[in-house]
Amino acid sequence: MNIIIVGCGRVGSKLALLLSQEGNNVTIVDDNPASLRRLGGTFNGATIIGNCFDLEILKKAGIEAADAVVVVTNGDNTNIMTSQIARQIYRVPKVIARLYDPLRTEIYQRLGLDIISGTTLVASMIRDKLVESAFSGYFIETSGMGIIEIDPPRAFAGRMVSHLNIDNEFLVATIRRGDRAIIPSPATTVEVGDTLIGIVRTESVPKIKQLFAVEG
Amino acid sequence: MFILVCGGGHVGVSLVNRLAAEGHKVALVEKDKAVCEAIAGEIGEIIVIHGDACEPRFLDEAGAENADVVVAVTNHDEDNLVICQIAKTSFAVRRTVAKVNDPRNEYTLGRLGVDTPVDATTLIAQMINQELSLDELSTLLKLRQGRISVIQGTISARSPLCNASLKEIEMPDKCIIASVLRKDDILVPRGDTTLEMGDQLLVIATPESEKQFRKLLTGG
Repeated sequence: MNIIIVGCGRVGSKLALLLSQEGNNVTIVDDNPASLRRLGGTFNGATIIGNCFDLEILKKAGIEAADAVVVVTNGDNTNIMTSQIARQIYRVPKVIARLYDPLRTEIYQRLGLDIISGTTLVASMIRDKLVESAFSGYFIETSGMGIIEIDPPRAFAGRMVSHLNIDNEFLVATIRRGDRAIIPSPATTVEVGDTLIGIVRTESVPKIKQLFAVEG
Repeated sequence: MFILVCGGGHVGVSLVNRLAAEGHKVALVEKDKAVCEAIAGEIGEIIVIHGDACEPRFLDEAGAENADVVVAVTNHDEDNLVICQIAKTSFAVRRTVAKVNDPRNEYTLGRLGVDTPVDATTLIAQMINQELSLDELSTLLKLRQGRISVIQGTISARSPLCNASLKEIEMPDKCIIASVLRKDDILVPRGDTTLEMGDQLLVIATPESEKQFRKLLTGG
């Protein structure tokens, strides 16, 4: 794939290295030459220094033939502008932007941009770890579904997964046991020290938390 | 009209002053608290909101949903774009105007939904160029992404148009003489108006008709 990454911060540089190691043709754009140093010596893609929403710079980066554009500068508005240029002017098939502001995320998701926003996700994860140490949630912010990690109380040992799942509300997808991960069948039983990783409907989260708290 | 201006720099302040003086209802959203206080003290009759206009809550506070026009004049083109887009999509504002700081962004802002991107840099450059120009024809203003221009031409003694009346002149298609400036007089031209040496013509033309008019004016 021809992939352009705009913004060579921590996320951008890491992503560029990952994708180029996997054999993709990666070009990374940043307006600050110093940021490109984050790539280290092993990056074998192309680097371009220049304004992240200048059409000439983006053309130089090969946007006209790009299969995907990822926009991860530290400016939300820059990311909004650049991803819209990629989508609406150059019709790039896959465009992903990262935003910090949850409100702008909501507005531009409604307008059809593909946005990843870590802010709400990280905040709710930290909150969960602080307040309810047995749970931590990773919420996918739009679709009403989330992933929840649960450290069940000891009393749950011996229970079958099929008894924990709730139709259309909660499903145990993985069990972390020591340093292994198991994809459970309905008959798999929970052991002491297991961590359950489940898929949950956002509105069912309180119910699930209560289930594991009260019964434990 | 109710006009919401975002960005309290030189352009923003000068704009709200004018609009308020013309009797419009005006609100200003500005990030810098000290600037807000200075403006609120100076211009009494406008609403000043301290906040980042890219955040919907400040647009809301400034009354965006009732605004007839939202004008974004910050020094960052990406901010101006986002302000106009949020005004349109979240507050159903009908008309948005954005200052374009880098001329290379004018096309982009227009394509991404700003109703009127105003390329301030190019406008100033054109005006300065026009002042420097020794040419008989110069561009005063380009509108609609350059599809139409207001140009100024001077009648020299050797111009084929000197001493010609307008009805004798075969004007190119899509080109009109809008006004004739003669010394201190402004003439609204008629068929029997005769052009004299030193007359300045204000002409509205498309890029093609501008070229034809240049030939007509200079005989070249």
